[in-house]
Amino acid sequence: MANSFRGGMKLSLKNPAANILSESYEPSKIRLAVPAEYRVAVAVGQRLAEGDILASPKGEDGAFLLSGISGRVTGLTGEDGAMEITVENDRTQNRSPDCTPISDSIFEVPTERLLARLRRLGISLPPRGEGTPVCLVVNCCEKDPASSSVTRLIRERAGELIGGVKILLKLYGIRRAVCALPRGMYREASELESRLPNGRMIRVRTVSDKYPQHIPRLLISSLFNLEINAGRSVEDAGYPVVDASLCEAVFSALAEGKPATEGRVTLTGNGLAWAVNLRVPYGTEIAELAENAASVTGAKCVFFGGGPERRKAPAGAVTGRDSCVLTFLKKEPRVRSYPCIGCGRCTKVCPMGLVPSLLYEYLVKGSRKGCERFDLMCCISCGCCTAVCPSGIDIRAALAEGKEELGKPDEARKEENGEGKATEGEVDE
Amino acid sequence: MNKKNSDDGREHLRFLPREEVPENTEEKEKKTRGDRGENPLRQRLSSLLEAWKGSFLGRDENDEAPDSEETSPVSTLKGKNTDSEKNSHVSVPKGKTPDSENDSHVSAPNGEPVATGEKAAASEKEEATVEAGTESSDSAPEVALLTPEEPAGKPGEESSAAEEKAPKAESAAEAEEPKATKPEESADEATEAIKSESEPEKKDDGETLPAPTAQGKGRLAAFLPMRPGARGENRLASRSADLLLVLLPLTVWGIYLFGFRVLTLTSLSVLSCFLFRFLAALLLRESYDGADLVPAVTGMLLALCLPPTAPLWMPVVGALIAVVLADFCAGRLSEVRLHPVAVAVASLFLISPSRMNLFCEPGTKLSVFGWESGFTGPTVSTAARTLFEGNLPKLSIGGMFVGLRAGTVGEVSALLILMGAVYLLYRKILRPGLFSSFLLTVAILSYLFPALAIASDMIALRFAAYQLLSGNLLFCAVFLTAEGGSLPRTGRGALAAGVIGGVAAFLIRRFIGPGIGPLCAVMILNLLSRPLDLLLKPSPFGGKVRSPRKEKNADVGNAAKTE
Repeated sequence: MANSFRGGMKLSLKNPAANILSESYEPSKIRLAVPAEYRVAVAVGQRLAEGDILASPKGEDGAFLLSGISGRVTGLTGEDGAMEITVENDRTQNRSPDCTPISDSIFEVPTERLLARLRRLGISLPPRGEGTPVCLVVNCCEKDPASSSVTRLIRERAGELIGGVKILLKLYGIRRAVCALPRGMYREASELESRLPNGRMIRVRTVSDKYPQHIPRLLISSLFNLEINAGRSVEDAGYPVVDASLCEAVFSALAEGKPATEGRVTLTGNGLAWAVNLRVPYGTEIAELAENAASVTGAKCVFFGGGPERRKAPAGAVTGRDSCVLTFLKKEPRVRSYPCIGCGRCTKVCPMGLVPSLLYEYLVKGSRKGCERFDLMCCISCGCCTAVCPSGIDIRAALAEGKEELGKPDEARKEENGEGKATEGEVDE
Repeated sequence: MNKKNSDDGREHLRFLPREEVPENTEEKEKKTRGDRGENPLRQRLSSLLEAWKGSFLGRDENDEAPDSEETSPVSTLKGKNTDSEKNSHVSVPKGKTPDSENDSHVSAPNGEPVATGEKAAASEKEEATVEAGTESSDSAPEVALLTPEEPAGKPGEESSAAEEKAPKAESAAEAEEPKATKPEESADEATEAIKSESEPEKKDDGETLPAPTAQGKGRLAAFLPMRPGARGENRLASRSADLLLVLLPLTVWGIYLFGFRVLTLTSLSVLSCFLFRFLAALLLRESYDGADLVPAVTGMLLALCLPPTAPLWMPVVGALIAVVLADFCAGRLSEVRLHPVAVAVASLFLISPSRMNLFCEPGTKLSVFGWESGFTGPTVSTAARTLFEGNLPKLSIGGMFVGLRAGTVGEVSALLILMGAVYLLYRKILRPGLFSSFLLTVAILSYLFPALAIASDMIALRFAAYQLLSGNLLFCAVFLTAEGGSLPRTGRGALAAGVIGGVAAFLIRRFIGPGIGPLCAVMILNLLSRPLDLLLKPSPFGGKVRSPRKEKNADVGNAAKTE
């Protein structure tokens, strides 16, 4: 179990796009959904430069929502709380005058100023946690077996990544950081090691390359042999986990003045002739990417979003920093599903130590008690069970649904209980 | 302010959607070249990109008929290029400016100087190594990149010439960069080198990767298992096929020992399993097409559990019990499924114990198609029976292992069963915990409590070995715990079940009868599977979450109080 976690699956695959240089893609327009807790700061027709603010958070924390391209706001649709902003690209590639690098030495600037700067440039850091932080974990594992965004990030911007880790160490007030890479990425590990600062402040460690190693809890389990259960966040346990792409974005924002509006996407699959890595602004529409960057018209193949859910993605936009793989397949894969034969393979691969087949059975029966007893709420929807199931059952989807179901009435019940308690309290008073 | 100035040299690789190509492309090109045309890296990258895009469109056009407007620009482009291509090997995107910001599929200005044949031929090595200042040499990497993916539509001359050229470029690249030591690493090295320097490394990259179409298929196959349904259309069928594959040698060995009656029994059994399965589905108006091959496995297992002298009604009745009663009726209704073959064979033991215990020596002539086998007895005492009676069999352990002995069709050759077990373990169909704990328990119990009067250590050891090899113990441990009935799904549950099953098998074989022991043990395992799962549930990651609901309730309560 050294540098590994229990369960998981070994996928002996060579990443199809790892050796392909990433390219920047500029879309004709972007479409960004404004989260409910944000206030829209633009009007239709307004001219924007890259890095201009589209929406600002209502509260104190949270980063600004920025435009990744320069252009004109052409659409502002939807109700309040679920707005959508469309920006048409004018190809001038002007950058907002606000987006400037910090001129002083970063390590002499007070933390508050750095944080404010990061917020302005669209970066919000994960919380520090309640306990004393022990070690900052830099998650350099790919989020998806077919993705190569982190690989490309390290190969292209390793120095910036390490610089970002240093800044984050200052911001978090931690003295140790570990960059965790899967064993398969040994080249990237040596690339990072060659750029480490003197001393033992930042270290590079390799962990198992099983899937799903990228999940923070499993990463910590592999690195420190410490299992943090679902009731506690990794930050509270003292191990804040940040993505490699976040570190790079922090450095680019502070040292280069680059707004964090760029996501890395890998396009791959047998519907394409060649896999490709792209850097695209948030809000780029997948259909446009498919047509222009991948030369695939929508009708000719189906494409799937990456991540554990791996669901068919007919439309939508790129969000998130590096979560994205788009897999283009010539035809939709189908599996015949049969009743469970009870082979127990899902139990073996479940990284959370659950018994997915039993949970599935309880879900089919609608037994809430069974689900609770077998810790359905611990499921992380990694999809290992579905991948190995010889009966072809989509256990992951069923469990995710069940989890939602189990969560909902529970809350209702909680509320009831809470009210009950409150009334009791009143009576007491 | 212009972003490009501040950028790192990769930003220029933006390409516009096809509809929005600015008309004044030439002007813009000049401007952009003025800006940053000096950087040879940019030009190389853009040429790579163009090559990539060109390869796409070329493939699209050839694979599927050019039905839309989008492919048409390429065809025009190709049409333009083919004239000038005769000398040079550059195929699709040659005419493009390497630095053009727009999508040059449409514009395709031929004003740019193109890599001519003379130049390419004259300075092959030069091309391959340093160069890159000019556009003409820029198109060189496209050659290397494009040719493998160039579909058959192109004349053979060009492609073959280009293929000749590509290895040269590669060798030149290797000559230039002594760092590239291992050939398999060269692709990676090359990609790294793209950033820093030499262009031929890029060629190397293009060369080491397989041709795009092949790459698309071959490499994708590696990661597709992650997606449900991508590995195969029917995973259960492939699992069943694996089981059939390991059962086949046993049947063949049975035919070799006992003649073609075994084949008759097996085919009858498989056919009737399918028939009853279809009939059952028909009665309940289910749709069933038999694609999962499970009835074939059931039928084959059933035939292997019968003695070769069995009359022809036995496989049919066994199939009826296994498929309809045990699997279809009982298995559907309850959480616990008894293994259908175990149930069927055990029932046949009850229906006709004398027939089930009628064994013949290998080589006995049996009727192939007769209702009865023609062998009336007296029955040969099998090794299991001899052990049950308290004696050591005369057969050597090696002979038992190979399988030249009397018994049911499937149980005679321990060697073949173990080979099957290895394959099933490799395919992750057989669970090592259950299988090994079952056999180990029987072995230890047999060693500790031998049924013999005089028991020295060596004799006890031999007794244990005979116990393991004799009868259908090994067969049941391997094939009936692989699948069929419900078994514990948790790791600890499987271990415990193996121990319990081993104890049951040992006790029944010792005190009740040799043939039925392992079958009963398997059924006991099936019955115990659920309680064992509940009892030996694995702990979730990080331990059980301690009542988060109560805490949250407390929070809600506090919040209400403060309000």
